Amino acid sequence: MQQREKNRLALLAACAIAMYGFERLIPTPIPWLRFGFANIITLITLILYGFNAALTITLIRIIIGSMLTGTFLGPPFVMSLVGGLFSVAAMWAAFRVRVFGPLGLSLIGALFHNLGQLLAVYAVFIQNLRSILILAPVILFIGTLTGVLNGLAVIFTMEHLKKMSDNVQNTQ
Amino acid sequence: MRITELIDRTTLFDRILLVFLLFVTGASIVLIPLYLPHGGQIRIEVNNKLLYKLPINEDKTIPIGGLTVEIKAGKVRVADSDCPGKICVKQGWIDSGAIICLPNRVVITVEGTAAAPKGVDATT
Repeated sequence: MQQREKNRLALLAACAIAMYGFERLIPTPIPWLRFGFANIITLITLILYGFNAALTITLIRIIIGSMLTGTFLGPPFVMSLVGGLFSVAAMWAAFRVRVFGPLGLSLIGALFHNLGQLLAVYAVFIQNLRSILILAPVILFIGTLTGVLNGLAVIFTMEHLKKMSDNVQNTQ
Repeated sequence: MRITELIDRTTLFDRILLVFLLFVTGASIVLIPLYLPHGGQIRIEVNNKLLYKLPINEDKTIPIGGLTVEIKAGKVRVADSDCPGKICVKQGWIDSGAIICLPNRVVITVEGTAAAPKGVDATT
């Protein structure tokens, strides 16, 4: 890997960790409501630099983020790890199909993140399928709403980046 | 950038997916509670093992590990918990469905009254 690439990944990972830290400061009225702002960075990385880059920054974000919040190797860590891997893989698969824009990719990411988390909860912690199925629709519904929010943020950021690079090319 | 410009950047499949997800999850939020048993019995499981089976109409407060479970007026809630997220406490009173406290591995579910016999019994 070239030095330039490494620097870029480090910067993106830092952005993702900052987003993760920022969203924890927002008080949420409903339990299970997590905005998943870090997914904005993951998705932009996926679109611009591909699967490996997106996977790398997701892993860095989850590991460093959990160390910062003191949940390393705890239940929230296992949940975000499985959720993060599911979501990156699903978004990559959907990206390859080429019919979805950032909004659809973000929705798929949110959906699979939640499915991965529910699966992790079932496999590792609680073998009570009924109670998980009761909570699943609420969690997936909230995930869809935050997915819309993040998807629009990705569209906005991509447009902004495009404008910026156009400006750079015009001045050269 | 206006919000309409953002919406213009979405594809047809994006919109179909969004409507589909909202419909499916929204419908299951509305429909699933209709099929859930209300009242009856409360099952409290810790570490996937059944610890208590209590009638919901008997007021009671039970400490379970770091949790305090309160049953009152046909409803149940986690009154207090030592876990960091306190999602179980925020969920409040329920008379159907489930409360899960992941850090303490406690699952509280509401079951129907006096489990109706399932399948074939000795007399049939």
